[in-house]
Amino acid sequence: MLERCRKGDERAWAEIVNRYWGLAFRVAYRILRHKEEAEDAVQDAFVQVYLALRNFRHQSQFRTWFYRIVVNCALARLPPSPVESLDESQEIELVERAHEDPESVVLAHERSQLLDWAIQQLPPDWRTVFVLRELEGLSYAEIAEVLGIPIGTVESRLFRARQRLRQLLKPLLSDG
Amino acid sequence: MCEWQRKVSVYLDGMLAPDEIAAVIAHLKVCDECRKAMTEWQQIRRQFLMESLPTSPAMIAATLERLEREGAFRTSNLRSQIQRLDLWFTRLDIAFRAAMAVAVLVTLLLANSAAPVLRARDAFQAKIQQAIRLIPLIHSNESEQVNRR
Repeated sequence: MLERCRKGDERAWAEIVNRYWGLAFRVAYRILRHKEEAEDAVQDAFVQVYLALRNFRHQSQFRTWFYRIVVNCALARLPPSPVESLDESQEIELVERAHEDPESVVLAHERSQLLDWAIQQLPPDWRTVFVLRELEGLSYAEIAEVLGIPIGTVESRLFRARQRLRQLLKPLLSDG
Repeated sequence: MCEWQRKVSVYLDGMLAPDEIAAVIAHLKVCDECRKAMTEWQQIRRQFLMESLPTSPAMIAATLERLEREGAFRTSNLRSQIQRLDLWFTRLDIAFRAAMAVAVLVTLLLANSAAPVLRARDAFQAKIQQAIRLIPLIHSNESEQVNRR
């Protein structure tokens, strides 16, 4: 199929896009937490695939290679500092409401807002490892290959991300 | 913080070396702090996985359009043939609709132009009918005159 894509076969491209679009959007959205930016990052990623496909020599799996491209495209669109983080009063209000009754008081929208806010507090490196491991289910070795870092670094970043999220989302977790 | 927590994190991912697994399991049985941490990490994962993603099929179409603009592929022969056929069907449809409209218009015009002729025909037929109705009267008058003579 990749060979057909190289030759400019429209159907092969449609197949690749249909097969990998969901994966790309999941990763991009969970890193960026912004629908439009994630959509643009996904488009950028597929264009990168098109431009780099000539150089892809099957030394790594296409899936791993594709993850690397998507992560890079998403990180490139990440603002230098969190732009949509909650201000202090909003944060306190959400946390207090969540603490009162995490199951019924905090609506799905507010819960999502809290998750948005919490993940945006993580440095991009930790966030990326967290998304790839916890939400995409990649192994440490795969994450290491995608990000080009040692396995020990993957383990360390993941542990720190988990600990930080535990602190930030404590009100959501207090109910057990 | 318990110094075992980092190992518990790796254990949670199933990435721990086999000889360390038994030690971590034994530790988890006696350490509330590590058990709590593991439970909360699992809860956090569930919270994120429960989220619905704001996707739509139009986004996939937009990605394909972008790739086409970037020159990843040219519209295939099959697709262009389908597009041409579609264009022809559209043209035929327009032509058929136009022909139907013209036919209706002509019919209406003909109906209007035939109206005086039809009226004349109806008047003529009415006069003939009237004449036919008068024939027995004329005949009976003539008979009465003959009898009087």
